[in-house]
Amino acid sequence: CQNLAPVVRPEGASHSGRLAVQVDGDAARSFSASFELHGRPEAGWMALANPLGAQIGVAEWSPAQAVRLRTPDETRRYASLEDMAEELTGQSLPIAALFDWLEGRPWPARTHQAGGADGFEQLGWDVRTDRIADGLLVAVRAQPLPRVTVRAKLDGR
Amino acid sequence: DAIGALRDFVREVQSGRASFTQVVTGNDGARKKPSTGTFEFLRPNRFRFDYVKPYEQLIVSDGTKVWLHDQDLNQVTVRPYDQALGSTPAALLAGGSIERDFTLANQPDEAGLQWVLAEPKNAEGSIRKVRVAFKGKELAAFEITDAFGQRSRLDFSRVEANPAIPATRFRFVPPAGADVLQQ
Repeated sequence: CQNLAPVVRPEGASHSGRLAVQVDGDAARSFSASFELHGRPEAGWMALANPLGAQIGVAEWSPAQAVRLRTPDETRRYASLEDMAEELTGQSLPIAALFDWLEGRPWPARTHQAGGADGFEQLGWDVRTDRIADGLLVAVRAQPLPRVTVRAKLDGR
Repeated sequence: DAIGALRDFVREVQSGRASFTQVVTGNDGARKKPSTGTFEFLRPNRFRFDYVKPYEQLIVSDGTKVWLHDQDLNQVTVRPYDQALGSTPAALLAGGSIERDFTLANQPDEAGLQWVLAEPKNAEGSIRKVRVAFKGKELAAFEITDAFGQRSRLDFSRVEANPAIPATRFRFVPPAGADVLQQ
């Protein structure tokens, strides 16, 4: 098997767990997978794998290099994480914001509104962090349609 | 040899049950936290991976569809058997036509286990290589290598050959309230 160069682990946070993205009315664009997220919004990498441990995609990004997405069959490049998410799921998913959302706080690089005890609103998403101590994050984007729900469960919590 | 053990296994063992420990090793050598659970199968192509630790997750194949239920995320994903999670490894253990689907090669013994390498004949998708190990005639381990060089190894214990397992064990009804994604 053609071993691809190992991914270098950037400085910053490390998260792993399971991720479910549901696009209402579009099962083909919805998915669930194990994930690893390392680094920070400016430079990092994210891997998705199936339950048996086989990786289905690895995305890497840094200020010096646009987003590179490697899948088992090809490598593609994108100008931003949002562009990559848009092509894969048809929706602009807030991957860069996940670094902070998974810690239960808004992404400092963008404005937000407090959302009561349950969480906050940011980038058009209702981010619920009331169960972050159990490692569970739920983010919902009601508008524009279709409604999109992102659920993440961190390992070890 | 190991190929002989695999052929005997496919011919003689029509159902099976075992506990497993799964360890994933990244292509940088980093070992991830192990998971444990039970594995059951019934030829042809019906299998069940019940993950218990560190989290509960269920993968069930009735030979036509494969259900993945993640309890924490309360989501069920349903895929056709041949497009599911790289059905390759499970097909090697629970399928009935390994010579048609795989190129087999004996490998050197390792730690008292006899290994056979099975390369899928149509190597698209995330899985590049599957290896199966026997201890004599008993299934001992299997290991998947993906396109990135990441390896996932399941070691089996408390292996039962040909236990009576009802076919209903390989049917899955999504729990009320779960999001079901037909893919």
